[in-house]
Amino acid sequence: MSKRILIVDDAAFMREMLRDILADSGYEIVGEAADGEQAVSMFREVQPDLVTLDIVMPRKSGLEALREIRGLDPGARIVMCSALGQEAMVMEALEAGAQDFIVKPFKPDQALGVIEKAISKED
Amino acid sequence: MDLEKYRALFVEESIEHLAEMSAALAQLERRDSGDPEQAVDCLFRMAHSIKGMASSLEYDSVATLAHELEDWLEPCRSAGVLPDEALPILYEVVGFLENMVAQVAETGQPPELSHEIRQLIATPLQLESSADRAPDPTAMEPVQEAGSSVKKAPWARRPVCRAPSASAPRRSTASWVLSVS
Repeated sequence: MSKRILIVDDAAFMREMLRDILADSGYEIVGEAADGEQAVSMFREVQPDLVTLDIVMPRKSGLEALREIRGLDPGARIVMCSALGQEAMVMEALEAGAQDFIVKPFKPDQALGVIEKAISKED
Repeated sequence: MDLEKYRALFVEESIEHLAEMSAALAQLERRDSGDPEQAVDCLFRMAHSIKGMASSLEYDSVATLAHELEDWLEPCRSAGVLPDEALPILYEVVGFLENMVAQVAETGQPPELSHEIRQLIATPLQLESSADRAPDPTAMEPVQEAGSSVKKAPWARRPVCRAPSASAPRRSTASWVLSVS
């Protein structure tokens, strides 16, 4: 069974790009969320195998959403989507339980490599 | 990748983001409506988002300007306020970005970046209230006076903005080439 992924980014452009990359590699995209609040409620609803989580978002940031999701499920696998210059926030996210991160703009192979590694990591 | 699809998404989303930025600026200008902190946060997020899309498509001139705008707005975002003097600069930059996006829509490529527009946001905004900064002996000294052909906007030297010392070299204007892989 293919692994189920929830994509979270406030930019439809970025969601579409990740959807294309992941769907082409056989992942099932079980949901898309455009802000941190939606991310948390969709996580509850769809129980994905992995979440890709943008950091800068309206209403609730990626960091806040990360903490809430890990609160709901301490084993949740989350890959942060960051941009150059957000190293401090990435470190904070890794400390808060994110598995790994990708830096925008990303190359499809790089993003896939990080996601594959995070999803297949032993608990 | 399907470049046409992403180009269309870039244009569509950027137009929306720039409209949101204009609305946030109008709100900040009116002073009496809405939450200024949210409006400043909106300006920052929209610039950030445009940067992300533009750099994915290798629209380097757009990405550079959006990135510099994001950096320029960061102190305001942290403080949750925007000095009045920043408003006309932001209207200029948002207008320039609108033209860049329009050119992408028309020709598939953004225009080159103008030195003048970058110059408007080359001086970091430092808020007077940020008391935790070390005193800068060169603060308030005008920059790029002699030999500069750049027209300084009159508001750029008002007390709320402090000119920095010649630190943080800016990236040179990117000579971009649209490379499609």
